[in-house]
Amino acid sequence: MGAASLVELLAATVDRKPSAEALVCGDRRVTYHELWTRIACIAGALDRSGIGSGDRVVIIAPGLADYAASVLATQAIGAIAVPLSSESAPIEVVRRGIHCGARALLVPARHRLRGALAAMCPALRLLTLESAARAQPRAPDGWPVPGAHAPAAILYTSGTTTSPKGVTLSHANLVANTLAIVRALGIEPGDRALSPLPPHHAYGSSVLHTHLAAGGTLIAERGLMYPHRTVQRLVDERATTFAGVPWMYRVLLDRTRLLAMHDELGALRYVTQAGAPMPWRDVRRFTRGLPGIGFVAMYGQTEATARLTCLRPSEIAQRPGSVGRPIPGVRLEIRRTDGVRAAPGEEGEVLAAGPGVMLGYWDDPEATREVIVEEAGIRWLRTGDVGVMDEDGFLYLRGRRADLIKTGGQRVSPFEIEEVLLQCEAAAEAAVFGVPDDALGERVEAAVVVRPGSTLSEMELLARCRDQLSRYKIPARIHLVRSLPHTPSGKLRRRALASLFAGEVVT
Amino acid sequence: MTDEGPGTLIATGTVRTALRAFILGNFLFTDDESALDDRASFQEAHVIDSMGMLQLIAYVEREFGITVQDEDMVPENLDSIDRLVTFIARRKGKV
Repeated sequence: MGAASLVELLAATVDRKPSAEALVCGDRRVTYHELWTRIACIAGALDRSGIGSGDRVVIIAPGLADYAASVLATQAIGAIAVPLSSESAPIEVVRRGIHCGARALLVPARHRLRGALAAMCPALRLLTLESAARAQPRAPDGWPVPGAHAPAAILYTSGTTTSPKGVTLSHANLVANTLAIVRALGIEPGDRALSPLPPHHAYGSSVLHTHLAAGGTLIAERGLMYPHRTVQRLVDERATTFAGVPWMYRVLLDRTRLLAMHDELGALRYVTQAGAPMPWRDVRRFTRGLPGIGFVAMYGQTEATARLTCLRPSEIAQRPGSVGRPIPGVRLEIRRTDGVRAAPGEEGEVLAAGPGVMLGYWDDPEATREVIVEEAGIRWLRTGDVGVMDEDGFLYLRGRRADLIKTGGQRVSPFEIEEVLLQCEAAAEAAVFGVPDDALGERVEAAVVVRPGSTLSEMELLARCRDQLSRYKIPARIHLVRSLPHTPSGKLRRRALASLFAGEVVT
Repeated sequence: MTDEGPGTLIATGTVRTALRAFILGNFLFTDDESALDDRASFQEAHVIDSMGMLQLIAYVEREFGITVQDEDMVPENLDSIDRLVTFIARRKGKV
């Protein structure tokens, strides 16, 4: 297609079908023409505020239409979009704003932090979404054509192990990953995706970009606070796809009638899952209960723009636990700790190359050098994930490198043990982590949340582990807990659990 | 937060106090009572997100000995302190 930016991809859709529905936000339905007009207005407001090429614009937009228009307007004038969560505390916004050297802030007029932000960041241009959306538009023919490798967005990662970093993505990164996913999933103009994912995260942002590029419709769902309403909305909106992360599927499976709604969900072609590996128990419940709806497992990283692999519905039964093969344009390799490429079935770190690999971490060349390795003209991203690849190139993840447990000289994947614990029906959620141990280096421990109304003992769980796991993988202790700690995007914080239980003595 | 165990009848005021303490401590990270209006929508005021709602439901089920059914999970029941207090009282057969 040759588009240089997301804005150009969108322009093509606007030309083809201006009156089609682009976004559904609550009761509001926004056509492609309306979205385009709003982008031109916000671009005009930014332009008149002196914001131009390369300037960083922090965006806090709770509504999807405001979010999409703000990000695309910022990119349209050659500036760099820095979207943050509308849940961010003022100090987080200020820290990110200082870190990226922001020139402007776009926030809703009624935003609870607006006053605090204005006081804390007096040098910044503070624009409200409402006034920007009513501003005199800047015509698209006056928009600069960005260099392909010019930065377009900075996404701050939530980070399971370290402090957040500003992943800097170019226009070319965003276009390449968007088009690769449109191809891999076969997204069509008639597709209507319902997404409860926050759009400022890589996965949610990717769902937005791909559907706008394909001329589809994105139906925004603000999180999954009321899950059976979300399921009803799938029916009412005749959604053809749904995008979620593992905990969302668990909630839908556990707390809604989803599995009994096969006929009502007749429009739903497929669902996608990414964000973290999903327990096989939940995948199987979904695929067995809803056999007519494709389940697509994916794997990605913010540092690779969004998504790297895809396991198609037809492949899932033969490859349980896999996250699939690379999407078009992506290369993956598994490297052993000595840097040598691993053989099929051999464990190592997952490295990724391709046009989606980020420019780097904003203003952090040292951290960038730790994860981007140049070899023979190829920029490899060290993902920090450990996995194995089978003979046919299907990837299986074993965990974050930092989450792997080294016990008595053996390396243990938390996922494998969590899968065994979750075979107990009464176990709602499980996390396995390593706790410092004088003799072993680390010892394996687990925390399990028991389903309300069910009973489950540590002994029952241990018995299951003894049946299925090598001796060194059996947790020294299994803590029965009320809840597990997660990152804002829903990933398990295993290291937080390790710290919590580190002081306890095992007898 | 309460002395009463699950399954017992609990005074509405005690429920309100316990809920407020849980939400202030776990979601707003403060003991400032003025930080939470009993009528304010959790969703609109960005007090609780989806993961937080699951924690809140688990707390309500455990602390007050009730089961929150799938069909109970609607904003009319759960989206403010006032609505939660009414919902819990109804579930426990005491309004």
